[in-house]
Amino acid sequence: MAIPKEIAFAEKKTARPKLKSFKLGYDIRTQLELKSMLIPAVLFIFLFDFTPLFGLLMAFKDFEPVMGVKGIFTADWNNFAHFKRIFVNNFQLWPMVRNTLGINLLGAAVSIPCTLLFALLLNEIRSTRFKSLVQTVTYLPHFLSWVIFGGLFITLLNTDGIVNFLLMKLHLIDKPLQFLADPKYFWGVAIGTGLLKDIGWGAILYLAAMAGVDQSLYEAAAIDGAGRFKRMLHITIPGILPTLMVMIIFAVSGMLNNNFTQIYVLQNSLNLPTSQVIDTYVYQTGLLNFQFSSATAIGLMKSVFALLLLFGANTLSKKITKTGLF
Amino acid sequence: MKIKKRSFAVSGLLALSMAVTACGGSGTKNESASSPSASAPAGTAAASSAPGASGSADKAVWFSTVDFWNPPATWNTDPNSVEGALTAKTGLTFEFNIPAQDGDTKLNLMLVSGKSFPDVLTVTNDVMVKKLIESGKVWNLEEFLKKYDPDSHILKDFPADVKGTIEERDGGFYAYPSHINSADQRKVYPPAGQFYVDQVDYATNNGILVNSNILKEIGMTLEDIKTEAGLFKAYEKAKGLKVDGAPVIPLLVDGKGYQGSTLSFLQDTFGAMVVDKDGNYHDRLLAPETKDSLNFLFKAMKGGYFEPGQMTVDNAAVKADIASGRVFTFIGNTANTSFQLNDYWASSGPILADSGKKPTLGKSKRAGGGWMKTFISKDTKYPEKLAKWLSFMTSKEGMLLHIYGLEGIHYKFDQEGRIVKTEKGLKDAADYMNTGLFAFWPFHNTTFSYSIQEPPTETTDKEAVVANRAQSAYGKSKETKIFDSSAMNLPANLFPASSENANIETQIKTYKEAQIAKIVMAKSEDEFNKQYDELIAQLKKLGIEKLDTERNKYIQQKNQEYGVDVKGINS
Repeated sequence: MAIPKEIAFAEKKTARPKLKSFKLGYDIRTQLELKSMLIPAVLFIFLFDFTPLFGLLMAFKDFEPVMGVKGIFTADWNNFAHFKRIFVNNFQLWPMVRNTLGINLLGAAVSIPCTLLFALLLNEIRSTRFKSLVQTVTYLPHFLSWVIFGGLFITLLNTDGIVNFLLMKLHLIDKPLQFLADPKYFWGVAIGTGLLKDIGWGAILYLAAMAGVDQSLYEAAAIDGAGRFKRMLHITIPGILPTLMVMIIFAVSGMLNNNFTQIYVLQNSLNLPTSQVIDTYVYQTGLLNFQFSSATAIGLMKSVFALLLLFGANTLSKKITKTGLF
Repeated sequence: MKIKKRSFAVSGLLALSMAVTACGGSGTKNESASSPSASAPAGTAAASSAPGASGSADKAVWFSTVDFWNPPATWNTDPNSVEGALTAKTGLTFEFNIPAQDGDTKLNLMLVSGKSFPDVLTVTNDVMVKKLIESGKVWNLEEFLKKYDPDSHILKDFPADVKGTIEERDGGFYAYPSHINSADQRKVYPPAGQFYVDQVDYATNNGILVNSNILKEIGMTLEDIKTEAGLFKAYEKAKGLKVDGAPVIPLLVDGKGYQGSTLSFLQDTFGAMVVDKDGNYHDRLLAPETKDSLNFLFKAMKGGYFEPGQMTVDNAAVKADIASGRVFTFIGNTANTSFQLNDYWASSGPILADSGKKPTLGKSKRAGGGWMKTFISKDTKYPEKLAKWLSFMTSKEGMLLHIYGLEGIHYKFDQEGRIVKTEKGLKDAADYMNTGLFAFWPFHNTTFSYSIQEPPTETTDKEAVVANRAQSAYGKSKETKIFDSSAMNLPANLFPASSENANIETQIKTYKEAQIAKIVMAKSEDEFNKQYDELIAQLKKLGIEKLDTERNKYIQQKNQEYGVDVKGINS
């Protein structure tokens, strides 16, 4: 039986485009306005992320700053000398890798559960005004620069700062602690200040994921007699698991990246043994000691390892939780 | 269809504007440089009457890496001000670009990015000097002046000994030096009195300052604290005192730069030298007297006379402490503390080591190449005006104007033709950040000032007297052994940046910074010794002796060249 022409036309009009129609040409014809909105982002990424990749050549050459940008291409190749210098007989290599991984691993181990817990508790607040107030107060530090936030904490953590004052008044310590002068406290200070600054901001993602959980599940669980804790455990957490996994993948792939500004602001010559991380070493080598090539070499190696970590974490996540970034 | 076209056009425009916004904000603009008339303050007589090629004042950009140099943020074009008078003479105004910190880093990035340079650059770091010259972005001043101001006095009367030092260091006369102090210059400008002779022969920036109010309160004298043991006794007495309700700080070290100044002075006073008994070069860290210096800091830390946080603060915090009246002693670079503003500061000179080793002081007999070095960019749009400006700033007339101000207002001449500063002159010079008087450090000329101005007295310039007394105390002490250090100034590029030795040097620099802090903060005598032994072992492992071999070759060559023979006084 032949299908009437108008019905066939209407079906054709309303039918979802077939897979082949998602080709670039089709997209441009049908979604030109939307696609054009991408131009700034593409240009931005091209200019600031792809163009500087030429600079990686410096890692393999005897580049000097005075050669200017042209020098990146014209300097002599040096047979991996900068890589050898960094990875062989470099007494700073192990401490800086240890500090980088230590601060990040412990930081992730503390900040992800804390942020998640904070978001879960926030989600349970019934008073909208109080919830908004808590959210606003906890977001605020995120918008402060590390120079200001770190400077504030340097003052608070001074021997005559309020933290030591309170600890002494509470008879928890006999004499002021050297939070920023004694290397053994640096990891704790870095992790603690990082958590305080970003706990509110980090909770936003989890709250958004929680908003997407089917409310009928909560109602059904309540009818079945599940309390708030049980509902949180069996509905909310599984509901936001994909988001949680994305956060963990990001944390793993960024394991070799520290918040440079944070560490730089809190670092001093006294806590250097535990505060020297890859990022600050690259800064010191490249910009303070003018050894651009060595700094590029270590930056490049860091990126390669970070990429491997990203793929590894994604694969693991897909195997365990069936969710991943790509 | 029309709607679709319109919406595409709108979204296209929106995207384009976003792209422009996203990508266009990174560059720095200097509209004032290209459009002077737009930037010049309206209605300023000096701007409109200033000479120059265009007949109006041009604004040049002056970059400096000296973060504690604070010339006035806004150029004053009032002809009755120092800056306005400079504009009237040179046809230039300046916009200062002085990063609050890491100026060298910023300049490094300017070099790599290839962006247009500031018109004038003032730096102190010798490595940066080399980079600037090698980049080809700055003028050789001799060529520059011959081309744009062939009648410049600099081409005729610049002191030959200073020029020789600069050419030896930089391979040419590229940088104009600040604080010229040389024998050739003294032939033109002889010292005005013994006060200035002392200043040249004995004054040093690094030293110990003592708060005489607190010293009096604890019932001791400067003589009592001349020895290490006496000083610690004084620290113990001062420890419990209070000033305005706040506890006294027995010892203040020189902030985060303490290793370059506090430790350096302690090394001097405990007798550590860069040469051994045979005259061979070794890093002072390897000298046994350095252990005594570190031990002094360790004992002071352990005794609670100074707290670790002092080693992390910046210069502003040190200055604030010095001005607070709570500090009993300060050890470090006295020149950066403004101590002379309070006349209770004195100096006990050397700290005589318990070990009995003699204090040492290296004084170069050769002319210096300048603390601040000023370059002219080849990119400048105002080469003629800058050439005239450079000649004027360094001329007698120019120096009188920017160092001493306006005659009759800021200073007057006495019967011998020497400058006597007025009260306003002293006040405006102290407020140089706003007045511009005494603000142009890159063109200060020490020999000229020591010749043209009346030697200060307690009544005419108390601050200068306080400063001279404290800064000369170490050199003038009979216990201090002064030696000729002319050959011991190592060039910045002895090890090229990408060489193996430069890498060793960098590693040592980073290592010692952390290890010295560990030594000073050691919990016990045993730990102190262990950390010190570790320092020496690790320095050797990193290759310090290899560097010393190279440095020794250079020093011996210079010793021969200058006819100097210096041997270790203590070890």
